Amino acid sequence: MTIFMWARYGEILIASWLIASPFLFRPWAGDAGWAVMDVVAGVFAAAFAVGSFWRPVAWLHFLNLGIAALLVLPSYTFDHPAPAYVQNRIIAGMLLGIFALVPTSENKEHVPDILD
Amino acid sequence: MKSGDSDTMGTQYQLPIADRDPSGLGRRRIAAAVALAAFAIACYLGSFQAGFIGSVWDPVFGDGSEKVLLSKPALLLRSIILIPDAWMGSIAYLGAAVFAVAGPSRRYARRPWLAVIFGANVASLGFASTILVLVQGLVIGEWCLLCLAVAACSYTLVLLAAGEVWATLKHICSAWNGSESIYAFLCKVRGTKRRSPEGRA
Repeated sequence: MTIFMWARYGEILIASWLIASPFLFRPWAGDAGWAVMDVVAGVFAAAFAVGSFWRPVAWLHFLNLGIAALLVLPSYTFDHPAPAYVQNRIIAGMLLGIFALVPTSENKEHVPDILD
Repeated sequence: MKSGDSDTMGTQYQLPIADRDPSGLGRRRIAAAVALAAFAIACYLGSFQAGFIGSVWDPVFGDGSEKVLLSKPALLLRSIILIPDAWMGSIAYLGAAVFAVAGPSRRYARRPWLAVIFGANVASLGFASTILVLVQGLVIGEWCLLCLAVAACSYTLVLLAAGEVWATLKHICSAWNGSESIYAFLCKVRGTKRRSPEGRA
């Protein structure tokens, strides 16, 4: 049975947005480290999402929950009003966390293994 | 069945499954559509709070919507969560849409934790909507038509999710006998085969 793993495509889309974000919001002036963090987080999120297509490591997408936490939680060290790129990171992190919770084989009718 | 096949050894649990599917795809797709409608409205309201648009459509309460969206409670909330509260709501509604469509038919038995997450998400939205409606009426003293529409979507979601969440909780409770391992319990909840110790090693 072919399974359409739409949640993984959602993660790849969000990861692509994260990689593009520093070039859109331009936080280079004083926060280059945060910009690099966005790109690195996007690359890892995409890698975990793509890796989940390989059945032996179909659970890899759960690691994106960690990426989501790394994006969202440090953003709250900023004071209000937060810069646009910080708000973008919070939103992208939360969306990534939502999609990461959806299992790869979520539409499969019979699941033979508890960790599948 | 080959003897020694670790995937097919062990116990096949059979929990009672209801004839009528409380996790029916039709009902869940309606829930997803309602959640996406609320998501779109919340994005629109958030765009006003963020300053991307200059006014909010409200044929009933006039500028009441703008007063609500830029009220002290809304600004206080934004200073805590750092993004417009309507955008935070839109993320939660998108999550509700995602968790509504995720999972197979009869997921209350096959993917019960997905149903639990969906129920928790929807319950949180219902609770938050109640608070926001009360704040509009009791604290701000103004009303916002689209905010009320979003709250109505939340209550619709609660009604649509209630049957499935109740069935999921009953399913989980019927699987628990208090004396087995967590692994065996999870296998029983999902109706999957438990591997033999040899197979797991």
